Amino acid sequence: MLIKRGIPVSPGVAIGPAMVFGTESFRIPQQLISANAIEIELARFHAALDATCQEIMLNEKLARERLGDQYAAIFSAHLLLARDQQLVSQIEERIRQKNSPEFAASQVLRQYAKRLRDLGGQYLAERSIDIYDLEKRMLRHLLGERREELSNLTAPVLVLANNLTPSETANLDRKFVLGFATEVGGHTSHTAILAGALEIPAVVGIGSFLDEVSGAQTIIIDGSHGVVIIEPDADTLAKYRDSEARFRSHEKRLQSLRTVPCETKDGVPIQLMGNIEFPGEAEPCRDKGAAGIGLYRTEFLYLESNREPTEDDHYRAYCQVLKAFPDQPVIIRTLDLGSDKMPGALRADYPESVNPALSVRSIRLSLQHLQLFKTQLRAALRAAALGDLRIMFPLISTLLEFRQAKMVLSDVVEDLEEQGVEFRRDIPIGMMVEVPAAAVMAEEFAREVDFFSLGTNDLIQYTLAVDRADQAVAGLYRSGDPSILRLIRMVVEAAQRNNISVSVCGQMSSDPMFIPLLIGLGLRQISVTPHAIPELKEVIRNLTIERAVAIADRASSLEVARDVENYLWGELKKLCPESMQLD
Amino acid sequence: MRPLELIARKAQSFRSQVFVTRGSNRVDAKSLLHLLTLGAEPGMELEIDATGEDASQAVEQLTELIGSEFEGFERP
Repeated sequence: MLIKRGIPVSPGVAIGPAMVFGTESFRIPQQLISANAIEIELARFHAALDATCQEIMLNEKLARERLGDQYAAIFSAHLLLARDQQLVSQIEERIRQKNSPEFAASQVLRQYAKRLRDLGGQYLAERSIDIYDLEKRMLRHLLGERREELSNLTAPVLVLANNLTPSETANLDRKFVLGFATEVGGHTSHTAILAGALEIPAVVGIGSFLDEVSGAQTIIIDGSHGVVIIEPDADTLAKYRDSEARFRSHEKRLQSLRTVPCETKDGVPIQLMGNIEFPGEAEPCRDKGAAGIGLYRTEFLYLESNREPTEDDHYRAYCQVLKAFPDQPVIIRTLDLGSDKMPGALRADYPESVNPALSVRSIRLSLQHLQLFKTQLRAALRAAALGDLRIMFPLISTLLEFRQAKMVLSDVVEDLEEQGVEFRRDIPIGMMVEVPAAAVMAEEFAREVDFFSLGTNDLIQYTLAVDRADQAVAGLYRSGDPSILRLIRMVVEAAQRNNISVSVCGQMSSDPMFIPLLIGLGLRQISVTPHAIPELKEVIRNLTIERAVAIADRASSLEVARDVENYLWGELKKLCPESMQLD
Repeated sequence: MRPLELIARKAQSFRSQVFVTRGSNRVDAKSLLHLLTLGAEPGMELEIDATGEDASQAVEQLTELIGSEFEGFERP
């Protein structure tokens, strides 16, 4: 039994077989075989091994012809590895011990890989990569036609990976994915957001651990405490099945809050909305009690399929969301692509940039690709005829940029009018406040936009100059940093002075301990991960505005993030003594 | 990986069992994987032993090979 720890980013407990995910990976169907299948499985292993060797020899030949001897030598080394007698006899031994060939090969190879990595040094680390390559080849031959990737699973799995990017997971089969555990990542990584959307447990930032686990091994992911257990013993397994049950009953309790109004103890209504990525999430959001959609991340339309979505694809998606919220606001954010979410079609135009977070993305990408931008805007304006749809532009950094985006919108309005297409023109146009420059110029922006939405994920990233996905500095990314509190206050006050609405959407707002602070700073509209809605409602209902303001003032007087967060945590415990945190 | 590959191939050409030792680590010379786990570098002392009909040729030829492949290696 191996216990690993990381950052808990989506609560709950999941127990099941592992699927180790790489750039090309398959689910290992089973660990064990029956005693009378041993000879057959041995034969199957040897057949796959021969096929693997044939393939390597072919690669060597091709490489020699096209790229020269130097390069071909890599394959001759791989061949030596594939035919290594020690390796082969160890795998055979495992098969005789009733392991499936897939599991046996994977285990033995990974053990070697780990040994080499532990010896240290660049050279041996690279050799371990050769071993992983061999593992992939062998699995491919062993599994043949029966290969199951993330998009066509036939059985439940817990997905383990170094990292999970949006394009990799866009096609996953939600029915069979029970949880995630990744080596890198933090609270706002894609893995965390996706796990939240799917409402499955996830632990990230575990550090290197993939060579200690093979597909089909039993895994426990405890997303509430940040623990991942590989091949748990019987006692541990029993204890966790227990937790799983308790977690579910807690969820039920929160479900009962669904229909009560979301307002403070002294009757001030707070609009709790949902953040979604797929239209299918709208209905579950409404069922959880959301008062609208505060952030619809539309870029997922681009990541889901191989071809670029048409105007009608956009239109259909937006209508689906509006249908779930017929009399409530639905705020769509125009494409936030670039950085880690570049769709295939555009990747050719943009060579890998040194600083993707500071490069061409979001509104900059839209303004450079007017065709793309206008397609989305047209669909939005057309869909707006069916409900309270609002548009916001991401990553706005200057007034000029906002005005340019608005001009494109007016062009689209003109086009639609000329063409006699049905649409609504008077829709609110707002912006995400996530670039520090925008926060600093909040007053000026407040005079031109219809609403603000504080994108705390990126605001924190840019203000503290911390890459939220970089494990080496993950500790520096603090939502409770005094600078952030100050910027939020600045933005809210500018909004209030200019009579525009301001909401907050970002992982920070989904964290119960920040709710009193955000409300105390003046926010009345909060958009969160759907599964957090019931819990946050509970916090809000225990809060008075006076108390919230006092908490915000006190928090704003503290000088370091750690003090702010400790203070807020203490206040939350006082407000909700019987809250979520299990044991 | 070239030197180790050559050693493994050479060792495989003999019928005897052949071993390479570094410090307390004794591994099968016919296994590239095992040779890799030695973490051997030029200048290190390695010991070669073999059992079987062509044992003495095995030891002789491998010592020669290692000597030429790893610069600065000294024969005992």
